[in-house]
Amino acid sequence: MDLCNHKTVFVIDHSPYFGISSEDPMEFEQTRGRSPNVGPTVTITKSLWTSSLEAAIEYSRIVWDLFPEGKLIRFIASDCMGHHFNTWDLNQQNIQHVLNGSLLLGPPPPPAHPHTSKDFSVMHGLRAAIDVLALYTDEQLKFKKSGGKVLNYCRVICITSTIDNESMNSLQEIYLLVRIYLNSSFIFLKPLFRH
Amino acid sequence: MSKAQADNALPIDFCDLIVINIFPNNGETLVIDQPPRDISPNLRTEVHSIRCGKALSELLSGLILNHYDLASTTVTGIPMKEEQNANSSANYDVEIFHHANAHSESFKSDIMEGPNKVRKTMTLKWCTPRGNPQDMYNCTAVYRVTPVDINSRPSSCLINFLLGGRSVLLEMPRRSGGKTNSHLLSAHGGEIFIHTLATGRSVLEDPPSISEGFGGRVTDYRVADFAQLIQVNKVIPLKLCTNQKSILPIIKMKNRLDRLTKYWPITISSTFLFNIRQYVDPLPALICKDELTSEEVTTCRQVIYSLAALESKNEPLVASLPLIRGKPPKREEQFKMMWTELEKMVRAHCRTDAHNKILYTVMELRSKDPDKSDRIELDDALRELDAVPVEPIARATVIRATTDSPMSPPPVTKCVSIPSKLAGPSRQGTMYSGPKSILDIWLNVVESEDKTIKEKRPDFYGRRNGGNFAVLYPKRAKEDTRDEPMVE
Repeated sequence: MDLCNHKTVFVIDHSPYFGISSEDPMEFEQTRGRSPNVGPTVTITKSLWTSSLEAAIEYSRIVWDLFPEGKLIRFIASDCMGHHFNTWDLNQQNIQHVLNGSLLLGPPPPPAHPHTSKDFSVMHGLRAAIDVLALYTDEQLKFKKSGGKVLNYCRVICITSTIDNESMNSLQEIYLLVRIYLNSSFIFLKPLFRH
Repeated sequence: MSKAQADNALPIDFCDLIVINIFPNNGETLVIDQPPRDISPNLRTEVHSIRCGKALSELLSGLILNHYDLASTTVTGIPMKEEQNANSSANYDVEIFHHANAHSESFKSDIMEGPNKVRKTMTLKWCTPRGNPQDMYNCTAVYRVTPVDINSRPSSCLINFLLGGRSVLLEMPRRSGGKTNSHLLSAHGGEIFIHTLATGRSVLEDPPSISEGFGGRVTDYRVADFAQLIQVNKVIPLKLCTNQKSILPIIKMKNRLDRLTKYWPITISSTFLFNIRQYVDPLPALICKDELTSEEVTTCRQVIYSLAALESKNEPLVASLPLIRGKPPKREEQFKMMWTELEKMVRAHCRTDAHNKILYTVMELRSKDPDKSDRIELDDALRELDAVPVEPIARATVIRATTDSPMSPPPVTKCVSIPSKLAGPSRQGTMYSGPKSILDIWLNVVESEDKTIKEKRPDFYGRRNGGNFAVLYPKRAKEDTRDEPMVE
């Protein structure tokens, strides 16, 4: 288990579905300056995307707080393609960088117009995750250069939404197939899913 | 694909895939949780299905505890001024995460709270720091900490307090009722650490009383005797002898210790023999020796005979150390205990003919079981011993002490070791002239017992057919000879 901690990739669904409300209302009281008068309460809800990203960022905050070195986390948002928020570079292993990445990407796109044939899937993100997990981190490269055999253990945490168990199982199986395919062929540039 | 890219590629050896299926708070899902399972040798997957919102955060912080081997501590009773009303203060709790090893000491006690909501947490009480913050503590481990709820006001107050350079001692309630300072929170260089303090005994303190060791409160260890055992077994460093044939000193020492402790009752109450040292000394010391001289054998036998004489005179054995519990045993019991223990001890040390002689003497005098029909009065034995001519020269000093008593030992030179099977015929002749000696009676008893056993049980198959020696694995030997020509 510990071996997997060196490389973690969060793959978060960024499909239009994740733009919907999480229906977990938060109430805010409006205060005006120092006056004790309390204004009307305002209720807001976060989207599935925001909640997921926040939970993932909280996870990385704890990891980075407790382990300043050697625990690398990457963020990938997945809609019609994988969007990388950061790299394995130590300069990009911080919350600010990840938040900036999410800011550039913005909220999930609106539901696809029936005529546009965009394929939204978390598989794009998982595919991208396998690609980046197959890259050396600085630490692994250093170890390789010193003549060690690098054991590439890693973890993928995927936050998505599927319809039923069947599609969940097929998602796992596809992931396995993709990984075996990529591991054996080492072809990273050729897209697996062509649409 | 270019060569450079192939060089940069690193196959994935193992991947832990965690899929979290989320759905809005008011929704339902058909996806059910799947516990971790290996769907291929190098891919483990698990599925969690959870409502979006707080539950998702809780799930991830639960996962992180497993992934990074973390533990949770709740600092309770932090005094804080109310945000609205600065005059009153209330107590707050702050939960922090850190490496699980910081709790390793405390897991021995059962103060971990059960699975309250999502995870186990150890609740430790805030102790308002007093005295010098630079005080030194005996600390066994240091780990970084981070608050679970980073944005809460109590968390930030605690963090700021610590970053300000002050330390907080955390108090752990003890099962016995008391409290102890088990942890210390303190910042170093802008980072906050939890320090596990040594709650057990420090090496700087005096060692604990021997009575508080494992096995409960035992108060009657044979401490003085043990100290003596240590004294006679002190080891000093030696240059290692390069001679391959010689036994390593450590092995020698182990063998020696093994032998010396073959019979070594640990507590005073578990032995009787060692409490009547005035009667048995120096036998216990002598019997432990590797080799015994004939003088030493005589001394030992004298001890045994004088014990037998006490028994015949109906004199009670007075323990030099009072037994811990209960009444002193009755006289008959005393002797029974003494003989049993004496035999046990001598038997444990039986290694040479000289040792055998002593065992033999014990057996000789012990065999007076009142239930046996062929019982012989001790007086007869004594008379018999008297008949033996007293040793003339070498043992003069030893014998002088006992010549007045009828307990003079028989001459060692005339004694034979306990007869073995090989020495069969010599057993027929008695060692003393005249009527049957105790030895003969004893041997008869042994022989008759042997016979009854043999009648009850068929003899070992190999012995029945092949006389005294049986060939082991005869079939295999045949096979071996058969194989030989093939090899050639």
